[in-house]
Amino acid sequence: MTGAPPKVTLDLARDSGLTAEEYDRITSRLGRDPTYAELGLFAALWSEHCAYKHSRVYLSRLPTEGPRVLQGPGENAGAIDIGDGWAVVFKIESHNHPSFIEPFQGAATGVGGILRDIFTMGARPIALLDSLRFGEFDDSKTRRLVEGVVSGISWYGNCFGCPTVGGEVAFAPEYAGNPLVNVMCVGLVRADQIFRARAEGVGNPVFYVGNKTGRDGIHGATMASATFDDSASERRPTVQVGDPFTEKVLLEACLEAMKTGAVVGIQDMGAAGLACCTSEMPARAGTGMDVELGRVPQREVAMTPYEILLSESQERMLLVAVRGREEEVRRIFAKWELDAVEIGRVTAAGTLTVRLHGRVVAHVPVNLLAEAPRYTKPTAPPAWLADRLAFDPLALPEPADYGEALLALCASPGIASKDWVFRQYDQQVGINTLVLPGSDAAVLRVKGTPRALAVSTDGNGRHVVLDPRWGAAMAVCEAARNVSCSGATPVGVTDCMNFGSPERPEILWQFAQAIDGIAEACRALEIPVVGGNVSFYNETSGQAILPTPIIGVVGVLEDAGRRATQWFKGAGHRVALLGPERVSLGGSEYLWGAHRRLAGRLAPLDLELERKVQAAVRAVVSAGLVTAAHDCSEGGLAVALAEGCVSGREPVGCEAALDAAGRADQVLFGEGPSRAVVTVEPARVREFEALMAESAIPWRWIGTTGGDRLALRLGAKTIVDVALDRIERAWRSGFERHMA
Amino acid sequence: MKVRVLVRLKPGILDVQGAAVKRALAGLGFAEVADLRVGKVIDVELDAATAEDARARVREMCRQLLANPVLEEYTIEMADDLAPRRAVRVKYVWHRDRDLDDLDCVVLPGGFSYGDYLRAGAIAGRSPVVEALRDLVARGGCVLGSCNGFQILCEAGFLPGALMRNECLQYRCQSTHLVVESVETPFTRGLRPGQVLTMPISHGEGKYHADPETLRTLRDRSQVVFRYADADGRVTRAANPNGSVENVAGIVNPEGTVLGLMPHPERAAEAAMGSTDGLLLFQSLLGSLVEDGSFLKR
Repeated sequence: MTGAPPKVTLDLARDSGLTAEEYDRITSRLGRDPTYAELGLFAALWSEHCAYKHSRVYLSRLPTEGPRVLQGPGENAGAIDIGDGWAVVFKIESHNHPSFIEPFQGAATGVGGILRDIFTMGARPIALLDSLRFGEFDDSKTRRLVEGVVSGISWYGNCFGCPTVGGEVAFAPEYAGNPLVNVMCVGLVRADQIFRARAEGVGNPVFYVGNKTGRDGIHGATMASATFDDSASERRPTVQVGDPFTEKVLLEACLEAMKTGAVVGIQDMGAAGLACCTSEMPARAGTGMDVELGRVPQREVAMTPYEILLSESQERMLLVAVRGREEEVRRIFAKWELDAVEIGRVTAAGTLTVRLHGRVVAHVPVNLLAEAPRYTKPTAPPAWLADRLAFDPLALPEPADYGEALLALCASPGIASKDWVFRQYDQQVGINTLVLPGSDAAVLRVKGTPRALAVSTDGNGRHVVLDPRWGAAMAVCEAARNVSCSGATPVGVTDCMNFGSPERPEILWQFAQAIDGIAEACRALEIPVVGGNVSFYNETSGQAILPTPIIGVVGVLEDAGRRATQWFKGAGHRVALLGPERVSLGGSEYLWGAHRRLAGRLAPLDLELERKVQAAVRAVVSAGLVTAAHDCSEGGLAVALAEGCVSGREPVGCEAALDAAGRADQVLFGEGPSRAVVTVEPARVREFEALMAESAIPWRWIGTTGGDRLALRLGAKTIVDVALDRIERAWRSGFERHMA
Repeated sequence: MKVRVLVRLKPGILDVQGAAVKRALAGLGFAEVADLRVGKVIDVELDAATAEDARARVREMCRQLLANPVLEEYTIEMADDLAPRRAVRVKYVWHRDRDLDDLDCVVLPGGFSYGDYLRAGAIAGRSPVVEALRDLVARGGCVLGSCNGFQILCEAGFLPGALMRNECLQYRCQSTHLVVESVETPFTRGLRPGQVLTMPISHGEGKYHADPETLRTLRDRSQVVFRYADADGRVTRAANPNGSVENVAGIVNPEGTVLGLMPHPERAAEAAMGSTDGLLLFQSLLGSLVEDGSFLKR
C-alpha cells in the first residue's frame, strides 16, 4: 500500500455512488465512520447492479415456483428438473455498459461471466444465446459496435468451447448511445449435484481459485449503476479483459473438485468481485467470513485493500471447502495449473472481517452489506404515451406496391438473415445441437436420454415502449411460442430487464408495468421465472433506450426426434394459420420501416388463447403431423410466410389467401400474438384437422407450398406475387450488406 | 464361427427401395429423414481355423455371390463378436505425459489449446506430450488431428505447411463438402477416390498454406487426402471456405499414418447431426487398427 487511504467523508461516499441517507444508515449501524475499504464494500454491494435497490419490490411479483423448480432466483442461476435425474441450469445477464465502452472485451467478458454463473452451480454449459440491440446502420458507430460485439462473443464462446445457438439482433435509434448485450447460458447438471453459493460450516477454509487479481474492472458494478455522458470512452480502464482459455480450465477444475465432495459452496467473482462473494456467501448461510487479502494472488504490485476487494478481474471463484480436505482441492487446481489459495475461514460471527497482512481493514456485519435499502420510488406513465397510442396507422397511405413493401421488410436488418452473425459462432461444439440457429428455437439433445432442450430469447422494445405491460407479456409469449413451435414444452423463464434510469418516474413505471406483464404471462403459461438480471441506467445524455425486457425460455422435448423447424420442406404441403386473425400495425416493424413511426396500439393479447395455441402447436408437432412450424412475429404473416419459403436449405414457394376483411397492409404486416404457421403433407390433413378440432382454437387453411414464387391473395385480388430468388436475395443480404 | 455381411448399394446408385421407404416414413411424419438406403444383412456360420481364415472365405463368398460387384459394396463383421473392437481401450492423454507406449493411435481433437493466443496450435505443438507422439509415429502408430489438432500437427512439424487466418478474416462455422483424393491411408481406406463427404468446419485459422515445392511434393506423393469441393465434387474457388491453397482440407505425412484435416469428422458421425460421413473415417481407422491389424505395429 502506498500512503494512507483517503479519509472517508460524506462527499467521498457520494462520489462512490451512495446517497446521504444511505451513508447515514451505514454510520449509524456501524456506530462509526466506515474505513475506506468498507466504503468500497458498501458502494459496490449497495449499488443498483448488485442490490436491485429500485427493482426488488417489483421482482417479488414474479412467479418463481413450480413442481419442476429446483432452484429459483437468488443463486448464481436457476435450475429446473427435466427428468431422468437431470436438471437444466440457465440464466440471462446483461453486459451493456462494458460493451459500449469496449465492444469486443465487453461482450467477451459478458459471455465469460454468464458461463461462470452456470458452472458455479455444478453444471456444464451446453449453449449460449445472445440478445443484441444496436442503433440503426445510418449511425456511423453501429457497424463498428456490431463487429466488435459479435467478434467478442465469437472469440470467448468459441475458445471456451460452448456453442452459441441462438438469440436475436435488433436495431432502433434509441439503442445508438446504449447498445444492449444480453447473454444467456444453459447448462446441464445431475439434479442431486447442484452447488450453491453458500459459505456453510464454521471453520471451513475459504479458497480463492482461478486467475490472479489486477486492477481491471474496479467500479464495474458502480459503472453499471450510472448513466453515460459523452465521456464514456474515457472509462476504458475500468473494462475487464477476458481469458477464455483460463475459463475453460477453471470449468474443468471446478467440476472435478465438485465431484470429490470436498466443495461446500462456490461463487463466481463477478460484479464487485471479492467484495461481493465474501459478503453474499456468508449472508446466504447465516455465517461470517474472515479473509486475509495479503494471500490473494495478485498480478499487479502495491494493490490496496480497496482495489483487491473491488477488482473485477475475470475467471476467478471463491470456494468454500470441507475442513480437512484442503489438500484435495489444492491438488486438483494444481493439476489444471490454476491458483487455489486458502485466504480465510468461515466464521460464526455474522461479520465479514477483511485483513491485510494481519491488520483489520474492514469489519462489518454481512447482513448489513447484503441487505441494501429497497426503494419504492414514484412511477408515472410518460407524458407522450397518450399521443402515441392515439395514432391510427391506418390513417397512413397504403404502399404503392405490396411486393416491394414485402421485399423491403425482408431486407430490413432486424428481419433479414443473421447468418453473418451466426456463422462466426461455433454452433456445434459438444455435438448436441440438433437444430442450428435460424429456426424459431435452437434444439439441443440431452445425451444419454431421449430428450432434448429447446431454447429461445425474445423481446421487442417497440412493443414495450407503447405498452410496457402487454408488450412484456407478449415477449414471454413469443419466446415460449418459439419453443412450442419446435415441439417442446416451455418449463422455465429467465429475464433480463434493460431500462433507463429508475430514478425517473416514467422509466420506473415502464419497469413496473413490464414486470406485471411478465408475471401475468408466466402465470398463464405456467412457466416460473427462475433467475434473471436487471440493467437500469441504460441511457446516454438523458436519452433512454426503448424499455427492453429480454425473455429467455427453456423447453423440454420428451422425444428429441419429434421436433419441427420453421422452413418449408417441399411442394404440395398445405399451409395453416393457427391463432387469431386480429393484428395491428401499432409498433410494428413495417410501420417503423416504411413510415418511421413508432406509435399506435398493440393487438390485444388473450393469454388463455395463447396457452391453447401453444398447446395445439406442440400437439401437432409431437404427433408428427407437421413438416414445419413457425411463429408469426415481427413483420407479420407475410414475413412469416416469406421466412418459411427462404430460410431453409432449398427455397420452397407458397401461395396463400389471407383474411380479406382488413386493409392489406394490416393483414400482411400487422403484428399480433398467439399466431403460428404450420405446413402439413396432404396425407396427414385428416389427422391434423381432427387434432385441431380438439384444440378448440381458431385456425384455418390459408394456402399450399410449392413453385418458385410467393403469391398472396386477399379475396380475389393477388396483392403480392414475387419470385423466390428476389425474396431470398433481399432476406439473405439485408443485414450482411451493411457489414460488407 | 459367425460372420455378418452387410451388403448395400454403392453410393450414387439409385436405391428405389430406400427412396420408397423414405417416402413412406415421411408420410408417417418422420420428415426429418434426410437420406435412407436399404441393404441386406447376411449372417454366415462356418468352420474356420482362425478369424482371418473365416474373413477370407466370406470375402470370397461376397465376391462370387453375396454381392454384385457392379452395384453393391459390402462390409464383413467378425461375429466373435467384434470382440477385438470391444477390446479397444480409449483413454485421455494428458499434455504432460511423456510415454504413449501403450497406445496405437492418438486423436488430437479440435478446440483452442492454450487459447491459441500466440498462433493456433503453437503452444500445444511444443508441449511435453509431443515428444512422446513423435515416438508413437516413429514406431508406426497413427495420429488423427482435426481442426486445432491439425494446427498442432503442423506447428509440431508432423505435417508440412501452416494454417493461417481465414481469408475472410472471420471465424467460420458452416457445412462443407470434401472430395476424397487419397484412399491409401488407414483413415480413408474405406472410401473411394472422388467420393464426396459432408462435414462441418468451425475455425478462424484454417487457411492451409504451403510453398509451391511442398505442394508439388504433396501432390506427387498423394498426400492430399481431402479438398474442399462443391456437392458434385468439383474443386472450385466458391467451395473453398477459408482460402486454403488449392482447396486443401486435409493432408497426411509421407507414410500416411498422420492425418490432419480442418473439418470435424466427429461432428458428422451421427444421423442426428445431419451427416454420418465423418464416421467413415473412424470406421476405416478402426478397421486398420483392429480388424486386419495392418497398422497395428506394436
